[in-house]
Amino acid sequence: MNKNELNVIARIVLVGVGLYVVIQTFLTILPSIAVLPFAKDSGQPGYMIFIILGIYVIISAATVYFLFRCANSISAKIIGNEQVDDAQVSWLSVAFRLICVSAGVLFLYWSVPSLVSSVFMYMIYKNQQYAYVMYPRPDIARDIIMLALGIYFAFGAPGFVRWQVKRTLKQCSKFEEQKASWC
Amino acid sequence: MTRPHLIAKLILAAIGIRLFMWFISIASSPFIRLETRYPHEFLSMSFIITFAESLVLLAASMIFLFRSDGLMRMIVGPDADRCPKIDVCWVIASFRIMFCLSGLLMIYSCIMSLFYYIPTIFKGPILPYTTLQGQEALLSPKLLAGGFKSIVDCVIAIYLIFGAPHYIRWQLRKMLVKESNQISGVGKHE
Repeated sequence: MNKNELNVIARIVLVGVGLYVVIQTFLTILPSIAVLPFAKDSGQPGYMIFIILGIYVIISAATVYFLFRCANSISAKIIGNEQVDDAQVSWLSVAFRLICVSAGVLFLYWSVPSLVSSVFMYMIYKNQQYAYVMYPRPDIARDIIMLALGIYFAFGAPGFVRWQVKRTLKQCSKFEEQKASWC
Repeated sequence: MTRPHLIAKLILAAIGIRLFMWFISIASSPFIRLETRYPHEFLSMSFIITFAESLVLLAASMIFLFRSDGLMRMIVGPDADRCPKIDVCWVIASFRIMFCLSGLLMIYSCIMSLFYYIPTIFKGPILPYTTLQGQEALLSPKLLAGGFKSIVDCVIAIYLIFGAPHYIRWQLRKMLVKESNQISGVGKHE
């Protein structure tokens, strides 16, 4: 597989992730619009639902812009410029890097709106004596972990990719040794 | 194995993983519903329906993961046999990439659910609609089932990120034995 083919595959995957983000945002926002008139009866400040919806729209717009408009430069970075003698090793590392970047973008898309809304909730309710105040604490810790993982994977997770490629090649060579006994 | 066969096999295995995760989620749901105030008849009916549903899902996932050769041939058709055969290392790499992606996508929801259950066990009234604490919370069927499900999900996700080596080895072994049988069959025929 040459560099052009890899570039096309990387762009297809990135645009696919972008389309998923668009669909997921619509599926999240549409039901929320239906409950907008009842927002003030929910016991939360009326602007809360607008903040959460706004965060979703901004994050998804940024993700889509990043993936659609910068797909060429991202795919070039994923493929890289290093000259590897073995074509299979090069293909493998590109494939693993591509799935890491896709997973990272999705982690960020899922965790950032959740983290921002958890922080807002915590700030609003921290001085009130509700059991509800208890929720944001584990949510914030969880979202921070997912955000850190998302950033690591979105940047190509170099350590993880190296480990996966090494393990795959090891499994291939181990298989070559076992082949004779299996047949 | 040719390239179309490999692509079909990968898609079937991915569907199999999804069905198996679905099975775990459906099978644990009646225990999660135990503490609710639904009528007794409704709960028993729900148990029976869920049991039947989980059996169907389990059978389907096992077929997709372990007995998918017939389905694979049906999907690719007879023309795929004429394509050139691919190197076994490509099969290993493709399976590992697919498993790694599935594991990464699964680990997100696993961490989410673990963070939902672990604080409940230690702190008590964090879980909505529950006032149980400490030992009581630990022994509640809802928490036991939910916590057990998230731990099983996490173990599967980590196994998939590690590339499911045992599954790949089994799949390759089956493939090689089949190919060597075909070759010896042709040899005998000649």
